Amino acid sequence: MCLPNSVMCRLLLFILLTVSALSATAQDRRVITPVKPETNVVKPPEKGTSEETIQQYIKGDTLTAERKAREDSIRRSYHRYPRLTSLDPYVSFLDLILMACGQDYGSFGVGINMNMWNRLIPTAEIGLGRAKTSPADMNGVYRGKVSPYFKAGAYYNFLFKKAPDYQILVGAILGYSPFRYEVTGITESNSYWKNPTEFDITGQKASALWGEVAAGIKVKLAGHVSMGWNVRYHFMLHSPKSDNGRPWFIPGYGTRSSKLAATAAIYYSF
Amino acid sequence: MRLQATDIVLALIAAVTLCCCSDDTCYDNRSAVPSVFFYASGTTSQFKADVVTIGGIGAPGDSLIVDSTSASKCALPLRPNVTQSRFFIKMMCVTGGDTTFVTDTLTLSYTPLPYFVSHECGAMYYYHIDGAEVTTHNVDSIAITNADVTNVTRETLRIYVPTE
Repeated sequence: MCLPNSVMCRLLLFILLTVSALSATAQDRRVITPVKPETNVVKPPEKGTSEETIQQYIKGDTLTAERKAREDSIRRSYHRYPRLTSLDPYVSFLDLILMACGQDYGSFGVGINMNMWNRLIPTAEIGLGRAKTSPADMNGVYRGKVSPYFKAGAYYNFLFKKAPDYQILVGAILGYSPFRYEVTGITESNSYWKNPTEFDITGQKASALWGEVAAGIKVKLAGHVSMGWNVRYHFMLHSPKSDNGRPWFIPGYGTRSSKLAATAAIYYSF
Repeated sequence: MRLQATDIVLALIAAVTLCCCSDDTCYDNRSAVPSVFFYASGTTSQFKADVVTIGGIGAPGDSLIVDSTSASKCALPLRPNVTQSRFFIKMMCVTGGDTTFVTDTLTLSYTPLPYFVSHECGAMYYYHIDGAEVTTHNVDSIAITNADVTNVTRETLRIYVPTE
């Protein structure tokens, strides 16, 4: 047993305190967050934040302000287009190409699409159609005289969050056409009576009402000019028929027996 | 999303392909001919007549429509440029053990109607049978069952023949 003297006691106390301090540092390290000088700086509101939201922040109603700020942010991310986003007059031209390739009939129309909110696009079209055909197996010449057609409907743009330059469209359209046709130079040979006869079916008038379900795309080519294609499934609502038969071609519709059609058009956007 | 020239060409080709392909084959009859069926008198059961010869009166070369040992039906082609066609119907008739051939004359009055059927089948005459007359040497009676003759094959006329 040793008696403590002043030097020894101080040394022992120093060692104990050092060991104690080291063990405490190792086990319970305190984290002190330094106070950053910019903490007290008032940040400017995010660009586009409404004045109402800013005022709510200033008043201290931070919950409402944050909710408003979030809504503003969503609104900025998904741009809301004006009611009349654009007017897009167009000319359909696909039948011109097909007729140049030998198709016996065609419809040529001009129309206008009214882009509302870049989402709903009412459309109206007026045009003319004609046909002339005399296939080898047919015993006459079918002429669909130049007759008008009218279409009206609406498309829905699935890319309404994007710029109107590119659109994916699905629509429903109603079409109507009053038209005239004739079949001339019909020869019917009777194998028994051996007296071939020739006759005409002239002055035929009919009208057709049909519906179309269309799906298509529209893309910007350059400047205000765009191009669109669509595929249409169409069906008769009022089928044309007379005492002398059913017409083969309906302006704006195509051949009566067809269920599918395609169109292409050039648009100019205002 | 940039549009390339090849995209436009491909879309146009797809559209043309979609529209241009159609079948131009005619699957319907290319003529409208009335169908005549033989029935046993007083019944609704069809009857097979023995040794039947049928032809058009005034047909070129006296050609026959039916020349058969038995027939239960036949198609009578109508003259398209007139409103009446006449046919003779010659049938074997057995009476008291004697076999004879008896001829009747069938007269059909009709209205020809030019009709455009389709792009594939073209146009033809349809007919509306306005009346039918027959002599009753062997035939008992006749009945029009469908007055409109189209390119759809269906019974137009019944000829009732006594079976005994």
